Amino acid sequence: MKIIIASTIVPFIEGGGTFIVDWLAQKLNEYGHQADVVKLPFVHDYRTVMSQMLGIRMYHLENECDRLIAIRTPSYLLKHPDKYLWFIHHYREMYDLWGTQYEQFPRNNEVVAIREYVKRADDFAFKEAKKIYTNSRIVSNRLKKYNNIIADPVYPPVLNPDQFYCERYGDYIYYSSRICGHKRQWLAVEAMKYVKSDVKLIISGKSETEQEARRIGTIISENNLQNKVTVVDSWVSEQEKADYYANCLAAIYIPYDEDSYGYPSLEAHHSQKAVISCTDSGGTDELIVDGKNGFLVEPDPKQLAVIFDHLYENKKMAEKMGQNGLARIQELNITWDNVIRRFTE
Amino acid sequence: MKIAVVNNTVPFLYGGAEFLADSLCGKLKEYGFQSCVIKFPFSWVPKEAILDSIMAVRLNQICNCDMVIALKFPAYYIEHPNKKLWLLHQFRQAYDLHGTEYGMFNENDQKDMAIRQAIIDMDNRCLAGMEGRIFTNSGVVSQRLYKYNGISSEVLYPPLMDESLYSVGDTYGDYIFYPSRVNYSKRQHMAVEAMKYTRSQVKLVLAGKGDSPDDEKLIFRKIEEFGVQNKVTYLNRFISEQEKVELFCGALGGIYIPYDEDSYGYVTLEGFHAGKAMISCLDAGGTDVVVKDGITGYMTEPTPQALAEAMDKMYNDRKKTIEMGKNGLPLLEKLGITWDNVIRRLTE
Repeated sequence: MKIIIASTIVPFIEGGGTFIVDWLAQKLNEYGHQADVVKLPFVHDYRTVMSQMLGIRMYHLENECDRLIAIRTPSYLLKHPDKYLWFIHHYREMYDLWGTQYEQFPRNNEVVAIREYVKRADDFAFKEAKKIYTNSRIVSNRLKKYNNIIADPVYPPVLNPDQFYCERYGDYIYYSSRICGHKRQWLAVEAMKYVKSDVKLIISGKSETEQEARRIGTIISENNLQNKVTVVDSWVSEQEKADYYANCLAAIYIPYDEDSYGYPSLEAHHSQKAVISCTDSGGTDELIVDGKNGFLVEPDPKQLAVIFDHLYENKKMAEKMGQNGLARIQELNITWDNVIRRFTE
Repeated sequence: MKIAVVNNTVPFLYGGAEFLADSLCGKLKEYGFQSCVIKFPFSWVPKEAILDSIMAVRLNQICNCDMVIALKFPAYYIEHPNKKLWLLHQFRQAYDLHGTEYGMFNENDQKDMAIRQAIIDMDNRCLAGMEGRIFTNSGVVSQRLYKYNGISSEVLYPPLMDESLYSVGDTYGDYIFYPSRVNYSKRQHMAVEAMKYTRSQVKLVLAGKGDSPDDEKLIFRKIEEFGVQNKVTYLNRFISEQEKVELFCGALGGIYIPYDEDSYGYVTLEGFHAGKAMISCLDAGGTDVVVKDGITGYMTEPTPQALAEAMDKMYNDRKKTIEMGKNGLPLLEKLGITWDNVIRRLTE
């Protein structure tokens, strides 16, 4: 099948939202389809959102492929008789973030009208779609709540699960992610102040800002954690990352309020490692069953420290939970076989 | 500085323009900029889709970049406070191809004429505001832009992408090399016919896949027909960059004789980067920018006899051939056909 995957982007910003597009294209090609990608720039600006949405509607891709798979909002406005959606989020400021501190719109009728326009355009596009999947239960719930659409999640796998392996259950907890405020690496470092065992923490990832790197550096130096915490603040190759996972005791992934379980959680499970996350992390609770394949802890350094120690002193348990993690991925069917089947049937 | 190279895309197609966009993006990175390629879908079926595509790009917004460099219609309709244009070509069906067999608008169809006129009007408005920031890739494109839209521009010749693969050495063999896609308008068949008239021991090596199997068959048939099997080698397959470099570096000289192209073609640049003199024809189009008769090669009449004469001269006067070959790179430097120049002009 000839398939175009359409999405929107902000130039120079890469992350989950762009990986899912490129990886899906790559896998569709591997599975014998012909796939190409169209990534349109889109600016989340309420003043121009209406004309931008109209613009996207005006492109012509309807004769270029057998199926269009639209991913990031509002690429699903593209016209196509055979349109599938892998819906990963709304224009959130217009939906679930409306009225919260994360939405800074002026309070006037115009903005209310724009919000209504966005919602109606979305509703219209959702009706056109032949099939809608989401990437998580949270997003499915929002679609139901705001647009009255029932859509199942199709969980996005990591690109190459086979690169991950398990060597041992070592003495460190591993946190692999971009280093930035809302991923809360600092909270993991804070926890190391309270550990009683010899458990260590390794953090790897490029820091987004100088400020965040300094913040973490300060916590380490002020509390003399140099022997307990290692920060690899650079881009880490896939091989290095796999090696860190292979030798860690368990992994930690504690962002604040994300939609999805996050690729780091999957990577840990593919390496047969348990994942520690927080009760306010968002979608990690779709993957992690507390006490089975990881832990869901209050976002409190002392409570995290207890879990770190607990795992360190019970490596058999860490091993069992890690193996449960791998099984959990199968249970939720987080595989490319499943993704490709759903989007090409 | 963050620079977005903006271009069109027809999904599933990858051609010269896409290659240039990727090359430019790669070079900008080499020169220390952050760069990415943004591609807007472009469709001309039905014809109204052309106008839709202009509108779509115009309504699109782009953020998080300090500059955009647009390469093609209608990508240059993107709104940005710091926009430059390195124009590869306009929508030619509305301009120079109109009224020819390659045109698409019917003079007797009111709707067709309205669409064509709308394209011209919108181009006039969009491009007029950009004067001083418009570069083109060839004199022909600049001339057309002036002729049809009254808009002036500066020619900024595209350099060779993988220049570092090539080097000027001291090996000069006995064959003239023609690497290119093989089709009728590239006129490999004429080079083959020329070999019938050569008197020296000069040989010809052609390399490249045919656009169609018939294109390849034609070459083999001509080789037989003219009885030049001993003088002509045709490698009818895809050759790797590395293989091409080796063949060029071992050649006596190069030849590139398409019919009426806009640009000088990468083949001439490859030849010069390998230190080889080039043969081209007076009706080849843009090759006369770099192939200077008697200085960097020979420009001949488009006849097999004239080509044969140039090939013999190349073989018989080796000293001059080598000298001309080594004049190529300094000429490219002088014409600004270097990435140093292109990146400087586009980013200053």
